[in-house]
Amino acid sequence: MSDWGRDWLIASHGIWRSADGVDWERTGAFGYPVKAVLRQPHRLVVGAMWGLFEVLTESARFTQLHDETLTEILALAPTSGDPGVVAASPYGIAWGRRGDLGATRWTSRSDALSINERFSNAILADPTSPGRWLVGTEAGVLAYGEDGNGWERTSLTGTPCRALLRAYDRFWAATDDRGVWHSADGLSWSRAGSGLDDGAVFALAPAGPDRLLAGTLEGVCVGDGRSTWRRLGPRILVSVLASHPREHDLWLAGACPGGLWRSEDAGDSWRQRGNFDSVMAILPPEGSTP
Amino acid sequence: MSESEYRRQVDARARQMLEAMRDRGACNSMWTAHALLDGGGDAGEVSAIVERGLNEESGPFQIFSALMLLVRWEDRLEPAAVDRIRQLMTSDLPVRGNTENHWLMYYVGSLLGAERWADEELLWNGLPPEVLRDEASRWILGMIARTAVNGHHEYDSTGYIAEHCAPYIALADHAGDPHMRHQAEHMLALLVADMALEYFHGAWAGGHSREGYRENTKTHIGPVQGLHYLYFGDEDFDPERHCQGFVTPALTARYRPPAVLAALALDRREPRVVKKTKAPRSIYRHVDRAAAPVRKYTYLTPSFALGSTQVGLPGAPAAPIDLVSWDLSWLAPDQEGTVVCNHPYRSAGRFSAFLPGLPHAIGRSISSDKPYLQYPDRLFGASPYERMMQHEGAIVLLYSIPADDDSPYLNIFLPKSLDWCERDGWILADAGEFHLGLRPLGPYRWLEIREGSNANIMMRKGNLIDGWLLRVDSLQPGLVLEAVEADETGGFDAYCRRRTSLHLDLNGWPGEGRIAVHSFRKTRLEMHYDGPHLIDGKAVDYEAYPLYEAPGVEAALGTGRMCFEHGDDRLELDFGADRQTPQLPMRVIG
Repeated sequence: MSDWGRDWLIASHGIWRSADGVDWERTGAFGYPVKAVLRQPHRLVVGAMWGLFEVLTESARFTQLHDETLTEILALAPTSGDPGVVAASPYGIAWGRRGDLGATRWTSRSDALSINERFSNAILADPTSPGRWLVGTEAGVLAYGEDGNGWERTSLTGTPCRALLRAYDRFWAATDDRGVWHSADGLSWSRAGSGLDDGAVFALAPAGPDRLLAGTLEGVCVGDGRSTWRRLGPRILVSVLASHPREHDLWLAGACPGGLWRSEDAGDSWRQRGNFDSVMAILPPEGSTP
Repeated sequence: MSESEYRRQVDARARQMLEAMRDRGACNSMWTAHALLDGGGDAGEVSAIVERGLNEESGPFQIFSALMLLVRWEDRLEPAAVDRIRQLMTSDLPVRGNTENHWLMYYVGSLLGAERWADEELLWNGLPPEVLRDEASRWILGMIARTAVNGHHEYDSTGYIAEHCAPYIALADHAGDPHMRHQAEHMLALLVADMALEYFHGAWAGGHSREGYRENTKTHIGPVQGLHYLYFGDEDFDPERHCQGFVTPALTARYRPPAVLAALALDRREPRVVKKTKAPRSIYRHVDRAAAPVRKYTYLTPSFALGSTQVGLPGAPAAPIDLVSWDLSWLAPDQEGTVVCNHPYRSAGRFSAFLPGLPHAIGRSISSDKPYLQYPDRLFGASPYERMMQHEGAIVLLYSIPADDDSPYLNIFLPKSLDWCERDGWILADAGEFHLGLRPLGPYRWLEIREGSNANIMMRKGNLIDGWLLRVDSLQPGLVLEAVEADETGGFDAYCRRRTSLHLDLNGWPGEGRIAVHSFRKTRLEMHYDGPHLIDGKAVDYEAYPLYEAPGVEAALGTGRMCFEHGDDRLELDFGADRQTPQLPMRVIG
């Protein structure tokens, strides 16, 4: 577990950490609007409106990872090599290569796509196939293979996909106007549960061995991916959410706008925490995922 | 005029403007402190300005202005001011922003800072200075190359032109790399040429990528007024209009434009057509295809200017928020010299088409910061349902608005300064030097519009907008407008008789999406809403527009070469465009 791993982390204006999800302190003097955070051993990678940064545990100093072609980072995923991260943005997904003097140069892999396919909201490494990625775009879910296969369109198209998740040995996707979908292979997708059929879903998270959380325009919904989704808590646009990896009834939901909300009874009651307007990423303390 | 004589005149106007700024006490920012130092002002006061102006997360406006102050006046700055700027470069967390002018100011400031503190081990970004220097150089030179072959992206902005010129002036005067200085000076010539070709009595005629903030009903708008006076100078000096803070770095600079550009700006003896090509608008979602290049057409006579734009947008909801596609301007005070119309498209998707926020929330969040962007009577900002064609002083505008649109109407702004008359559906006015007729297409109501910058109290005269508003309540509204020099018309009555009797075929509108009209000179304009635009039966080929076309100007698109000529004076620019190298990826809006 890294030094960052014991705590909850959220992204808002800057990165904030908390041991219990109640009391929050900013990590470093960093107030950029942050959209994505990736936690890795001994570092955080921070995707912000203005670029990409690496924060090392020992110094908390922000080191620039972007170049003049990378900006408006919306999602991150780990990969091999240095700098070890794939960045998703409105301009597509990009791989970096660290060179002389520590400068990282980036190459977009999305230039050949259509405009909506290029705009990448979410990216997920396929754990079953190294080098394969699922990308949630404004045109739906696309698959990308680093091994020369390039881009592959999936059955989930024609709607923006804003979140991707790997849990319970399946892929899950959140869409703008078709609710939640799931897939065994990332290519062929089926609707997951009912009740969110034409709803906008912005975030997905596992909550214990058999519960899935969905962040929607109307607040948090909980379900199992098969039966009807059940809405809980305040009616807010939930842009991100997470549950504690061991205390499965402890949930945090970030709204945009609406701040940070915490529930310790599986969504029966909620309380606003911190002094945030919008929350764009939540990382629970490290632990096993379902 | 010789270069030395022109330079002498510009220097004299610069001194006049600096003196007026000092007299007005308008020297209290990092942009305007140049005036203070030029007048032998107190360096301690400048240190306080720097301390006040910077914070731990300074943005492009602060980054550039701090570094510009440093490179221009370091010998006059106190160590405290230099130290604070060094802190900006070594331990603060500067913000890059997201528009072209943001990145230009950020990268120019970063380049100058990286050169100044080249011996530092690491800069604020945790990397050696040469990394930031090289990154900044790549972006700046890449954008110059893009502009030279595609046209300027954040084009012809009355508001932001100063934030483009000032950074390039900083580079031309102070960059360490001779190639950078050379390219920056070429870029400045291009930007000044952009101003010069559509210069109209102190105003910038024609369409603009960005002319927001509810002032586009004024003839004279924005910081460009200061640059116009400095470089062209054919107006009486008016400190209120000409002493623009963002122009101050240009006043104390070494850089002065080539004299031939001023000569082109000031030669308005004969009517002229100016055509320009500009880079496509940045639209990154909600649409199926990329935006096409922008094509501008501006007609300037001695007494009026009419300009229009083929905006190249790919369809709803793509609709840049500050864009002004057309207007008619003439020399008159304040808001008494403009006619413009707009469909105030208000979909939230127009924000998220070029901003990364969630489409579901961005409409409210943006309009909380800038409520006027969602005003129902907004007179600027693109509409995806607007089409237009122009030939000399005549223009046709057509709109096809979906029934579920929030704004099922067209707003036409008319100044109150003219005595309007109505005849056979035409609204006509004698503007003295020219005559004007306009024909709304659709039922209209004659209303009033008045907006002020201080609108929380009773407002009797709108300092932002004040005039007549013709609301055309229709899903297929339109406007035909023509202005004609008075000496061509045989008097206003004759003009009215002729204008109202000339051929106007509305039988094809809206059913077939077509109208036809004869101009005063009997040129036939036939416009198909989503089809060809015909002048006397011949389709206008917008794709054939060069980078610039105007009397004395040659500039083929895609070459990076252009020539500006007036009398015996000639300016040739060759940006050394390399067509084999891929262009810098576009990552900014504007």
